Amino acid sequence: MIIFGYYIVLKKKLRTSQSSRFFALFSGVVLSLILSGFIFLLNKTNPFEVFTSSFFAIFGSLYGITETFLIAIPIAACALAVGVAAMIKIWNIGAEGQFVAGALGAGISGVYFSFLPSGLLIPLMFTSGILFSMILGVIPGILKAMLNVNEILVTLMLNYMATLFMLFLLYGPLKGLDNFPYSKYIPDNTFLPLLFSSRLHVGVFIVIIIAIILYFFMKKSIWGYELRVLGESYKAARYAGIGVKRNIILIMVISAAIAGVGGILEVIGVQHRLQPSIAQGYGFTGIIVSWLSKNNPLTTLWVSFLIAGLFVSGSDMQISYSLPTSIIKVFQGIVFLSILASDIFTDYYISLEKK
Amino acid sequence: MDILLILAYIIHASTPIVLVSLGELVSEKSGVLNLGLEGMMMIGAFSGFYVGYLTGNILLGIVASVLITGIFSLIHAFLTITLHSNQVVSGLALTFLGTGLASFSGRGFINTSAQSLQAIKIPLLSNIPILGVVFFNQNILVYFSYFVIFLILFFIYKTRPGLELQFCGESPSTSDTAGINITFVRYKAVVFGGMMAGLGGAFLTLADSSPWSDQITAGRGWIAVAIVIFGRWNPLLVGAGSYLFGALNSLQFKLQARGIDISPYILGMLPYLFTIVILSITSIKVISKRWGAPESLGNPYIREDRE
Repeated sequence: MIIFGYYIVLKKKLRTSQSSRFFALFSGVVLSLILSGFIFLLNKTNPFEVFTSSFFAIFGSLYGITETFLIAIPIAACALAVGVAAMIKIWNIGAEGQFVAGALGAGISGVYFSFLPSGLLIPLMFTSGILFSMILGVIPGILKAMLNVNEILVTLMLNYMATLFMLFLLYGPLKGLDNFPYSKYIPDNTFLPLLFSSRLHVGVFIVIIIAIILYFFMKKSIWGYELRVLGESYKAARYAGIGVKRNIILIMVISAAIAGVGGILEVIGVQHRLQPSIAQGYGFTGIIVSWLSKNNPLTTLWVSFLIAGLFVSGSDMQISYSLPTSIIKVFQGIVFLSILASDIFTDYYISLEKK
Repeated sequence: MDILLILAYIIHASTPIVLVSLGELVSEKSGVLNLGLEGMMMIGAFSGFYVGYLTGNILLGIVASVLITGIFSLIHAFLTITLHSNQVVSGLALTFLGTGLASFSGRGFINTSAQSLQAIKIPLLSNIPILGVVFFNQNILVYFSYFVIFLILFFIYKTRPGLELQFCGESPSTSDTAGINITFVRYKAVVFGGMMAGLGGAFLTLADSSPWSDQITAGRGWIAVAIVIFGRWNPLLVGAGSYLFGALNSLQFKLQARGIDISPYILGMLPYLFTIVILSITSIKVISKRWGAPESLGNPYIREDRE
């Protein structure tokens, strides 16, 4: 590409270092602050004031920190789900739908079997949530493995089907008493215990444990190694005797189940009932988070926390500066695009050469 | 009589998807997947609405939405072509930014409508029995969409720039050797895709007489992505696919009108199910060989990495 008579030349780095990754992330954040600052200026608000206010909204109080952790849970679950599939170069765009499916499974069993003791009901809610989400994983998995159907498209379509199915249930059989599209509440004795007398629930540990298990599975186990081979080349995997089809299906199912756990936790930890906006785009956010964290499950955890901070600062802006919720999406867009652009520093040397 | 009006409505309602998916087709032919269609449509819908509403001039609104969305799509072009960023991630981020910006800027206009394009009867053609009512009593953007289907068909298969476009998507390194400026071709293709998405968005606010809302695109951008693949990157099939989708969508209302008691949400799932089925059938090896995806779709071209 030529700018003012200079070529921009990109040279791929042989090794990417932690310091260059940090530099990339840092410049991405700075870039996004500058860009979103312009939006505030256009809106006649002082950007510095907003940024400091947001910073304190997130880190300034125990409430802010626990809220950020709370939102990080569903994002991390979806991002970990996407990351597992990405290990074998499969794009699971369907985390959103799988999240909904998990929530549905937990919600339906919670409402219909509310007479069971909590010792039975909680495991039942988890099992059915996971089974529901697995259905949305096994379909694209089988289609990809058997017919090589593009998984991006299938999972994308399944998102819509899952959401519509949830709406069907909420306006139909599951509708609560007062004609709004909400289900009845699940019994109180199934609610997850809360931490620090905030809204944060113990589900946060479940997600952390999943991430740690995934880390060892992906980086240290033999199966994880096989999967990485598979991700590099189906041919190589076949020569090495690694079952390509079996693994594609298995990984899609595992991936879907992890996103499903996110949905389950959202139902029994936060909302305690089903409602149309339960997923809120967490699945799509998760895709980008997974990519930003370069598929490292442990990195995913803290990246999710940072992105969750965006949501929290967004709701602060809503209250303090009466900005609409859509500002969160604008930020997400700006942050993702800026980090994406700066990511070039991770993998490439950039130099200008005279024509 | 009744059925003809329904068919005419299906043609009308499918037009935004026709426009958007044809733009995406060109972009994908050059090797760049753009999942940001939903966001670009929102930008197009809002900028068309805004300019149309302020000036009272529909044409000006359409021009504005095409230009602004074209410029907006440069973000995706710059990231994926120049900086070699991941196309899936960039497209998703573009959707966030586009829907966010559009609903943020449009927050004061909810439920306001701009003026709307009226149907124009084409003399002679509109007198043809059946076809006349269905196809030739539409607004000008619908006529434009017919034209674009054939224009792109001709462009891709019969002109030199069209063949170069295909080369870039099939084998960038060969095209580079042949002296084609891949960067430039891909930029043009992505911006064209952006402009068409803008036009599709403008259709919703300026031709469909829908009032402005945050949900105005209602997932049409995602559908368009599916339809390009469903139509195996062939302009005629992509056009047909869009109409089929529109037909399935209106079947929903038709059945309800007949008093058949199926939840609209369950019926709403049908088009997506159908797309999955068609995708699976067309992925069977024998069929996909003939109508496959551009070989290098999704891959940035880096001259220094060439093997």
